[in-house]
Amino acid sequence: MASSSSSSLSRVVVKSSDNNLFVVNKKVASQSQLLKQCIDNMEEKGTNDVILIPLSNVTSNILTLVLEYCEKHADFADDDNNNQELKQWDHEFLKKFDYATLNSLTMAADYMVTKSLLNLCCQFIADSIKDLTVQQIRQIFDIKNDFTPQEEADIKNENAWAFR
Amino acid sequence: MGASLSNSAEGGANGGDNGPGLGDIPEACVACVFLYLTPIEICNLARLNRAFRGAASSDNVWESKLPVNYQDLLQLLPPDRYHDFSKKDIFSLFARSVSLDDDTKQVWVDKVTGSVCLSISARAMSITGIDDRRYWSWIPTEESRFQVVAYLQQIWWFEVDGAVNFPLPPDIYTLSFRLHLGKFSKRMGRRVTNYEHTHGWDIKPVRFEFTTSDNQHAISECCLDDMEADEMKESLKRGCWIEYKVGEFIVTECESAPEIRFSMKQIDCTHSKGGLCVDSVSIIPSDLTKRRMVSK
Repeated sequence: MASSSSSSLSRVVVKSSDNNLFVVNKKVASQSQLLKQCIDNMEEKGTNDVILIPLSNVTSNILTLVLEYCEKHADFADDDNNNQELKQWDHEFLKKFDYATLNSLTMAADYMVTKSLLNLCCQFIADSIKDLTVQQIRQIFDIKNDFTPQEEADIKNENAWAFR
Repeated sequence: MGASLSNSAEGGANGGDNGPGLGDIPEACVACVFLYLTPIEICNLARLNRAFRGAASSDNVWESKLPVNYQDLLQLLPPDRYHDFSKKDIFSLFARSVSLDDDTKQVWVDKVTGSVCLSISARAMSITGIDDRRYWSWIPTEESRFQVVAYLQQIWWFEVDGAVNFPLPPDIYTLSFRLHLGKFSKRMGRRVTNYEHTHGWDIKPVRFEFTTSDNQHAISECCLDDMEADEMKESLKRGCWIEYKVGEFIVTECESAPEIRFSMKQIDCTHSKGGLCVDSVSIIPSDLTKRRMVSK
C-alpha cells in the first residue's frame, strides 16, 4: 500500500451532466461525501494523477451552486457549526433561488451526499410550505391530485386524529 | 434512491426547462423535508398526492416525531394493542391518549411537539374519608378526561395523596392539581354551578407538595377561594377548572422512571371546608406551550 503522503491529491476534476468540467480543491470537494469517497478510493489505490469524477445527475448551473456552498463551508470547516456568520450566509444563499432551482439543489445535495446542504434546503422548503393549504401547494407547485374519491376518504379517516 | 414523486411526464427529472417541481423530489428528500414539519403538517401534506402520502407514512419520519422513550411507553400496553403497527400508527395511538391502570391514568403525546404528557385521576389517589358519603362522592362528568371527579361536600381533615412511577423522557416537567370550586351540573343543556357547600377555602391556604425518588421537592400554598368581602362579585376562583401548579422537576437520562409522590392538604381542624371537585394531577413539560408556538 502506498503511503498517503506521496499519493495525496490536492485537486479533482468534476464533470457535470452537460459535460462541463470543474476543478475543485480537495478540501472543498470533501464537503460532499460522494466526492470524498471517490477521492479516498483513488488515494488508497495510490493514484497520483488528477482524477475525473462524472456526475450524471447534476447540471452545470446546479453544480456551480453546490460548489459555491461547499467552498464557503470548507472555509469554516474548522469552526463549530453554530457560526453566526455562516448561518447568515446560508440564509442569504438560499433566499435568492426560485422553487425550481431550490428543488434541483435539494436533489443534487441528496445525490452528492452533502448532508448539511440537504438539511438546509429541506428546512427552507418546509418553512415555505408549512402555512399553505393543500390547494395552494397544488396550484403553486403544479401537483396533480391523483387520488380516487375512495382514497381521499381513506386518507381523511387515517389522519383524522391529527385534526381533532 | 426512492421513486420520483412526479406525476408529470417521465423525462422531467433534472433537464427540463423549468427544472423539477416539488412533485419531482425523490421520496427520501420529501422525508427529509418532513423532519422539519409537525405531525399535523405532515398529515395535511399527505393529501397532496399518492407519493406524498407514501412519504408521510415512512417509519423514518415518524421515528423522529416519537418521544425518545416510546419503546418504554409501549411496554405499558398489552402487545396486541400495537401488533404490526407502523411508527405512524404508534404516534397516532399515543396522540389520541392511552388509558392505563383501569383508566386511572392517561398518557398522551402532544400532536405538535411530540412531548409526553401524563394525567392521574383522583380515582388513583388516596383521599381521606373518601368512603364516607357524608364527606365525599363521585360525580360522573364529561368535563374530566376520566369521566368522573371526586366531590367534597364538607370535611375537617382535607388530604389527598398519590404516587406515580412512570417512564418519562428527559425534560423539565410541571406537576399541577386540577380543581374546581363549586358543584356543577347540566340542566336543559346549560351548565349550572352551585356553591351551597362551598366554604372554608378562604381561611387558610391549601398546601401542595411533591417529592421525587431522586429527592426533588416542591411545595406551594394557595387559598382556593377569595375573601368573603367581595361576596357581591362572582369570585374568579369559583365555577371553573383551575390548574394549581405545585412545582417543577427534572427527568434525566439516568433517572428516567422516577417515582413521584404528591399531596394536597388543608388539615387545620378548627374549621371545616367543602364544595370542591378534585379531578386529576397532570404532569406536563414546562415549556410545552412555548414549544408549540415555535413549531407552528
